[in-house]
Amino acid sequence: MEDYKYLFKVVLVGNAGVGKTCLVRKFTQGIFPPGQSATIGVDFMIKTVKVGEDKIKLQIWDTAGQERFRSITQSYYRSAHAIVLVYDVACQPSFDCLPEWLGEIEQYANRKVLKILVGNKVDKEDEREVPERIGKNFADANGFDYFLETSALDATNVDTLFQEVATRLTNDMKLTDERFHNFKSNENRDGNISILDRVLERAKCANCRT
Amino acid sequence: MIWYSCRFSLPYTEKLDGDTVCRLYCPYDKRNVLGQLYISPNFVCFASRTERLVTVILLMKELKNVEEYKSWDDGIRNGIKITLNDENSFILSAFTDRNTVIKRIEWFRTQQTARQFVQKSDSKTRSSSSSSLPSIAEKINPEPLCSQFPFAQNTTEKVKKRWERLLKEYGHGISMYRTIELHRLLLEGIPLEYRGEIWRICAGAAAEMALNPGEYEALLKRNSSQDRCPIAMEEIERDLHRSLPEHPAFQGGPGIDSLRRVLTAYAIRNPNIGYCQAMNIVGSVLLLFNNEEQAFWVLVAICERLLPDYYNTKVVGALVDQGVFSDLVERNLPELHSKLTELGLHDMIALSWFLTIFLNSIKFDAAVRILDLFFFDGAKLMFQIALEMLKENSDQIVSAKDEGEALITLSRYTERITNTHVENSTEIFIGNLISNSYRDFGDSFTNEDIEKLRLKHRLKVVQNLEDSQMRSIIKSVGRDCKLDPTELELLYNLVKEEHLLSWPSRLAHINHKSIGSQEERPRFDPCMHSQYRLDFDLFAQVLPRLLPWPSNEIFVVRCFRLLDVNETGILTFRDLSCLLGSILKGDPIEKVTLFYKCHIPPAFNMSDLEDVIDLPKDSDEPELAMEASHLLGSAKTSPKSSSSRSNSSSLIEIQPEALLTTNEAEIDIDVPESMPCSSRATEVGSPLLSESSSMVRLNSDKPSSPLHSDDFSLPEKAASEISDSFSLVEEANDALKTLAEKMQSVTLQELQKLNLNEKTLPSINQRRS
Repeated sequence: MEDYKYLFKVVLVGNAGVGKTCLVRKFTQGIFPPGQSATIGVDFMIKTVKVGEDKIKLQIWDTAGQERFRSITQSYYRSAHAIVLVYDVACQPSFDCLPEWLGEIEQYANRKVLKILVGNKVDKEDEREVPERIGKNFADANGFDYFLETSALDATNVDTLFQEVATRLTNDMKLTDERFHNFKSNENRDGNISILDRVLERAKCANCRT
Repeated sequence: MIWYSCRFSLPYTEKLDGDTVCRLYCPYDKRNVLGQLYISPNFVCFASRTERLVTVILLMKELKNVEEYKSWDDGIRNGIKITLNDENSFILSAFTDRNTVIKRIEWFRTQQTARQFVQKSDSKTRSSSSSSLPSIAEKINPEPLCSQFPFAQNTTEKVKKRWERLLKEYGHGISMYRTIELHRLLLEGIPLEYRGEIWRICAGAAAEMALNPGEYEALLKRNSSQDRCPIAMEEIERDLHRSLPEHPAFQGGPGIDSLRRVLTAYAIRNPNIGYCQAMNIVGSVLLLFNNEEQAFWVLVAICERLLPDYYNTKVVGALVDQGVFSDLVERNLPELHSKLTELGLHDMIALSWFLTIFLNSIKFDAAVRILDLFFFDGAKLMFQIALEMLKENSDQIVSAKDEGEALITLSRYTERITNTHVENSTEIFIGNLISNSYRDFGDSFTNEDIEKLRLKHRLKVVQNLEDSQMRSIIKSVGRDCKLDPTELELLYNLVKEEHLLSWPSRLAHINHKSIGSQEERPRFDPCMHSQYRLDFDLFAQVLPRLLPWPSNEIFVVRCFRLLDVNETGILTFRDLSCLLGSILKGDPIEKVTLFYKCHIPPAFNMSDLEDVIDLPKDSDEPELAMEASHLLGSAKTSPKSSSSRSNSSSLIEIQPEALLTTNEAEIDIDVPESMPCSSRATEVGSPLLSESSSMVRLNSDKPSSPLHSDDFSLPEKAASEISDSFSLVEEANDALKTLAEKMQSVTLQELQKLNLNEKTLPSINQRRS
């Protein structure tokens, strides 16, 4: 546990009551708490996962969803490597608020941040209000890196979600490391290029999508 | 006077009338204690000069009699005896001016009696009118929940005996002698059967409840009669089962219903707070030891006195106290403070502890022990416990490699805090934590110190919140507005400044229109959450200063009506900036559309029509025409007008040119100088502008530009309303059209320019559609 190759910060955001805390609990402790009190401010959990041979430590920041806590949660965006935006598939209003959350991310998070959209509570199939296709389309149209539907209750995709986050962040990081080493061995190149390239790539991708 | 209500946990509205030195006779040790007597409309309070020695708070409405008193046995001279309705009496002495004191108390007491009489007749009418709604009173749970969900006694028999003795000796209820002995016993914990009462007395909830009989029920009735804050209701409903889920009372049934009512009643009482997460957790614990109405008043005490501004729409108080706590850590545990700062935790570490008074991080049966003292000692205790918790973990925190390790250390520590004392276990006994906190930090700071620090941090927090609000508003408005971010920032600051300068007259209005009471969840718009919204007075102050030409009230009024689509009487910053964007930087068609719209409903309404009709009908047209020609003449004679242009400059020439240009500077130079004088400017300006709109219409008659008709089309429902008023506008237009035709020969060049412009129109319109 003490040894790890990389440490990544993952921030969960989304409307109150969409199941952010339950997702984190299920992943870090393997339990679905039948009664879970509302998150006040920000909660914090840690779990180490394996990506290939590497141990990756995930710091998971679980934020309060109520609007008046935004000024507090905003300060966690900046240092995040990944932001997981969660909505409830059985609650249309939680989906309707996504643009608002995107605005927050745009304003406060690092531009390189990995953005993941998660539709939670798929166990409530009978009460579903947001079809998977709609969620997927929204993710594609708004530059999310990944979209997934989960259920903290029956554990659907919970491990997949965080494993995917860890894998993507690790791969990105390795790529950056490699370029950094290349730069080290070849002093003529500009050190900032790796980051710059990545930003440009992203900008290009975003343009293609829209 | 806030000091006064803080000192004795009185309602904030309580205003001190006067105070005087005197002695209080304490029957439990037969001494006359020196101190100060305070008198205010609803209370008589005494505090010993030696801090904490003894405090007494008497409710004015419970006073039965005030009389002179003398007793040679006890050596009491110049004394007053106050007798309460329950026959308890208090003896005060050594007054310098006894008669004035008696007179003041008597006066307030009679005032009280009068008020009570009014209240009684009030409640009579209330109860008779509420006969149709008997259900609310029946539903209200009269018992604390712990009577239905019994749990183990938390204190020993010995402690319970001591409490019984204390209540016997020092009295109970609001008027008890609050002494050091009470504080000592609080450290041992309050037995279940007394907990609720002692909380209410210490927090000042008992007094406030006594002052407002029936208020709780009345609030609930208001809720059932009209659904007042649906957003808060929705948020409360979602969190009811997420309050104290580990306790059987809050897994369903009566506990949930009680909690719903208490939180709802508070949201209605204070729409500025509405409902904030954390109130549910605090509220549920209060309900275990108090009945609904009592729990409600303790919640009021917490939200409005003990944790001021904690739960408002920006949780300002909680943020402020993070700064205060950081300062206190720096002062008392400097090494730890620098480590926490390095980890970036110094300004957030105690956030959820304070918001829930430790209830969400410490097991609730242990955390209530903290509450026992919190109600007695106030915010100071919370800071003191948090400091002790950091101190006991300081070695691990200082050696932590990252913020995660530090946080995990603390959360493992808080999980181990219990209410059972076991020797040599890894568990931490809450009693020890509390007494250690008094030992280490009990004398390090006072509640007054905290108030001072709060004041210092409040400014910073509010400034930060405002900055970030401004940034998000500018970003959001910038998308639909032609002004660039720098201009928007200037405009924002101007509005803010004007707003602040005139805030006293505006305050009531803004409160009235608080967010909590909105009808439904609006589309997200940061402008709606801004306090810097504009009513007409503010709008009328700001707009003319920013217009490139002098204007009078008519134009401002019309613009206001045009923007105030929902007739709320309040405009947002977005409305103002979009308007200015169009006026200063808009393309010609946009400007013309705007000016045209100023002449039709809703900008032009019935009251304007009446003004026009009042004038003799036949003199109307010529007058308008005359003004226009007067203007034309002056434009011609004005030596500087349109300086770069040929001397044939005329109204029609200037106007299209001004419209054509996207550079506001030119408007600045050209237009005002063509105006004869500022007082006539708008009168003249209106026909002038409608004239220019008619010019465009001449062009738009061509089938190639169908979008123009869109711009001028009227909403169908308004059409009938308009027909009359519209003809007036038409008449004015026609008059000017003839004028325009006369000038046409001179301004052929310019018309060609207009044609040029027209070619660019389709693309503009595409963008707008």
